[in-house]
Amino acid sequence: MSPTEGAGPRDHIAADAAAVERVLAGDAEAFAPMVRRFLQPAYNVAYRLLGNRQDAEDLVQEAFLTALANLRSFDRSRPFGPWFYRIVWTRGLNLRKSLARRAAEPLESERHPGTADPAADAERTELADTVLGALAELPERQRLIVQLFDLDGFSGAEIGEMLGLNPGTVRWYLHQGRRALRERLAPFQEALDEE
Amino acid sequence: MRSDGAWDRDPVPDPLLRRLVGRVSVPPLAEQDAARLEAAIMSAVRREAARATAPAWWEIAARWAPAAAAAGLAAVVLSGLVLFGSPFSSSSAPEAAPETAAVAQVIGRYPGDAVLASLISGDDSDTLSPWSEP
Repeated sequence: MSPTEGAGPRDHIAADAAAVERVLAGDAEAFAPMVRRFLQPAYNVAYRLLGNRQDAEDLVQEAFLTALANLRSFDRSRPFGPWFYRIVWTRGLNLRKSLARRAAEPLESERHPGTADPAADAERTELADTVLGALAELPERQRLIVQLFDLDGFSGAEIGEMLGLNPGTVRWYLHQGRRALRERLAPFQEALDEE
Repeated sequence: MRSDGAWDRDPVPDPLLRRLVGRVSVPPLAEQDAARLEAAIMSAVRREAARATAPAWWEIAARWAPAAAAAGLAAVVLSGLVLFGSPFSSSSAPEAAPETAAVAQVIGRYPGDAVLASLISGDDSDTLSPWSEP
């Protein structure tokens, strides 16, 4: 399921169009439900791109204001999400360029706190390091697509619209990325199954 | 790339990858962080909306242009009148009537004649004063 789906897609298109209509008529408060609905997925995209919480929050805020400023160019017969994520993505690429950050940095790991069992902690640390290493070895596009699809729940079509790719191409990158990760992480499957 | 339709629809989610990659990924925004970010965004949105609806200086200027033009024209006319005088009024002081002395003499000879005094002083009121014998 798409991260922004809940009701049917048609319901969302109609609701988005109505909200956009109200915002364009001068009702700024009509933007609030849209901010609420798209905040978390937009933050996920921003975080995958920038790898830093503060930068991701700044990017999300900037993207909402950019969307507001360009609302007249939004095609109200289509869903708001992909159009908005595309803004997040393109603004994020620009911001990243200006911040001169490397794409591999997003893997800011948040390790689980240590437990009373040093052996288990060491194993977890090793696992986390291996996963981080495997992700870092992937080409950036594959890594981002795997994260957006498998972790954040975006569909291939949504990712395609965001990245300016054909959905089939997105699925192909996803396949490649998954295959590489599975090979690297296969030894940990048993450990995970035991947990 | 395969062309047998394998890329026509999304693959099923991979739970193992999800668990493994999820372990090293930063968790989503906490509820209070999301609320704070949402409030900051809406505050900026309200500011932008207010700025968008506030008229720009050229709109204000255009709105006041006719009144300003009229006021300017009036100021020019008034200044001209003050500096060069009104074309409708004489620039010299009114001359004394040459017959003033003679008139005074006539009125002096008939001191009780209110009608004569009124006629000579130019009172053109239509009201009739009561007749009185000299």
